Amino acid sequence: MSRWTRYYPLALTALALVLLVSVVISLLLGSVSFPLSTLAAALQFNGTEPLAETIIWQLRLPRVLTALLVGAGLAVSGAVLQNASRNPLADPYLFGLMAGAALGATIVSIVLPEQQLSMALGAFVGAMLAIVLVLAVAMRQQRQRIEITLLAGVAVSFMLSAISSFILYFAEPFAANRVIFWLMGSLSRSSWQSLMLIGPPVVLLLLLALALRRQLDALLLSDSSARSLGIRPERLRLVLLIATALVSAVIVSQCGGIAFVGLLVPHMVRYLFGVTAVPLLLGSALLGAVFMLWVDNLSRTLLAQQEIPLGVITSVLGSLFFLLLLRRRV
Amino acid sequence: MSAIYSLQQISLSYPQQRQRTQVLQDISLELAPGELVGIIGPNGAGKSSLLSLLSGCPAPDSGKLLFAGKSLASIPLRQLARQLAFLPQHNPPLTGLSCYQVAALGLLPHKSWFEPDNDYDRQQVLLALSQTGLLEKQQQPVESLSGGEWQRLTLARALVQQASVLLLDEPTNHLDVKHQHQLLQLLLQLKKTVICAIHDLDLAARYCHKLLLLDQGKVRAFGRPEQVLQPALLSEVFELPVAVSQHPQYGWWQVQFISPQVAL
Repeated sequence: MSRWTRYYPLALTALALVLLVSVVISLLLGSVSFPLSTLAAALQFNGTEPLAETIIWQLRLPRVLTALLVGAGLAVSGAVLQNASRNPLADPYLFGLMAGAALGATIVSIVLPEQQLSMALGAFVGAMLAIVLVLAVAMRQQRQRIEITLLAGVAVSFMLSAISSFILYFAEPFAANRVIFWLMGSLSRSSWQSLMLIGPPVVLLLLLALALRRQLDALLLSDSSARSLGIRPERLRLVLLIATALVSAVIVSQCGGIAFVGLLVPHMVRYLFGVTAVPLLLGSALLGAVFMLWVDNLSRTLLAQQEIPLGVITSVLGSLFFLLLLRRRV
Repeated sequence: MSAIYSLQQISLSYPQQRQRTQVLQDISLELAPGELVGIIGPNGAGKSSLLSLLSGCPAPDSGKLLFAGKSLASIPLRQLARQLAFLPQHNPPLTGLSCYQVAALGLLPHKSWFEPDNDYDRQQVLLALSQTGLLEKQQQPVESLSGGEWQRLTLARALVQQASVLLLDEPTNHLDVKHQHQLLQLLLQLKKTVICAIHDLDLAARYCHKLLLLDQGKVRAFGRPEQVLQPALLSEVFELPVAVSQHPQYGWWQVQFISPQVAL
């Protein structure tokens, strides 16, 4: 247990305040910067600042809220999977989701370009295909389901990646670039519509995980202890696997690949607030949201006239943070 | 008094390398409520398997297993957890949970999805921790506990669970002599039905109301300690000469195995 574990309600409140401030700053940042007064006027929708109103309501607010939900969703998924499997390396992409999404996006934009299907739809279908393949293997196992899911996820990843690589290899370079850039992750396509798609599953996952907080804690002990407390560990894991897979598939299909958030944020929260489900889940949701907001802010503002892919920033920041944390722990 | 457990011709086997290994054979017995029953026998006799079976998982291959008059398999797991606690044998896990948090997990079968812990629950947890002598360690992480303390903590969790039946797999295993006696005294004082696998025959004879002697998956004897601890039977099962005596002052039964002479 860390020193801060006992003060977690205070720390969570502080994190919530940081999130609120981050949201306000994110709304002000961008190629057009506003003073705070303009933001306040625009948010009131009273028509005094028509340009700011359009930028805030049509572009920045949906994007900021999407960033928040994506960060929270990935971090909560990671926290749930890591605790449920007692495996610190579990992460929302363990189902071969990314490879599935990549294949879907590749097929939609390269094999079937005349159908005019959205890459998001293709990616979602591809991600679901990967989940179904992995679960078809894992469902048959009664024991060590998470381990088998992890291994099956790796195998499915390689299989689906090979197919997309094969297609990309013969594709025209421009179309291939489009797919590859899409996979690096971006929130630039955020809209109120994508927010509506991502929001409900993320909120439902958080509520489900909070409702099952005692069950999640019991799984930390051992399967036999959990069973003695009236839990069916395998069934509980399957429910959690499917819930997190759905959330991750929706996020991947809307925003592309955003690595490391689901793996890293829960570990940072565990280090700060301990392992019990309530501080871990709420802390992961808040810290994931803050982290994603600032990653997106960097992606939007670091280079003039150009966005840096989110996946690049999360991976660089994530791995640095992580290595520092590991060094301190030893 | 009606039996808490009723076993009729129970058999259990595990799959092992394409064959099924028979671990329990044709077990029929009745266990009365409120008794402390010790399961004794050599390694591989089926003690742990019998305890797992009594906890409801795995189900027997054949035979009838009744818990409080109902088929054990038909009782929903959550409902069963309010009446029955199984304390398997394992080391403290690397969880980062505190002792208090582990003991509080015993509340789980009594709580609905969003129901928070109330003051009464917290008192129950603290009471269980003080009964097991762990009150001072309540904020410590479970990793810092010794094997014996962890054993007592799992008992504290079972007490919070308010189960009337406790199944324990070798609870005295990691304990020093003082804590062995303390634990068994506590189990006696609880006035619950306690069924535990136990290696130390002297402790078993001293504290258990009844003993169940298993050998190669079969019941060899079941009854009061003096009925079960027959020298001829014990030496056959444990494959060592045995002397059974009564303590001259207290009258407890004592078992001494006579190992073959080794020249020192």
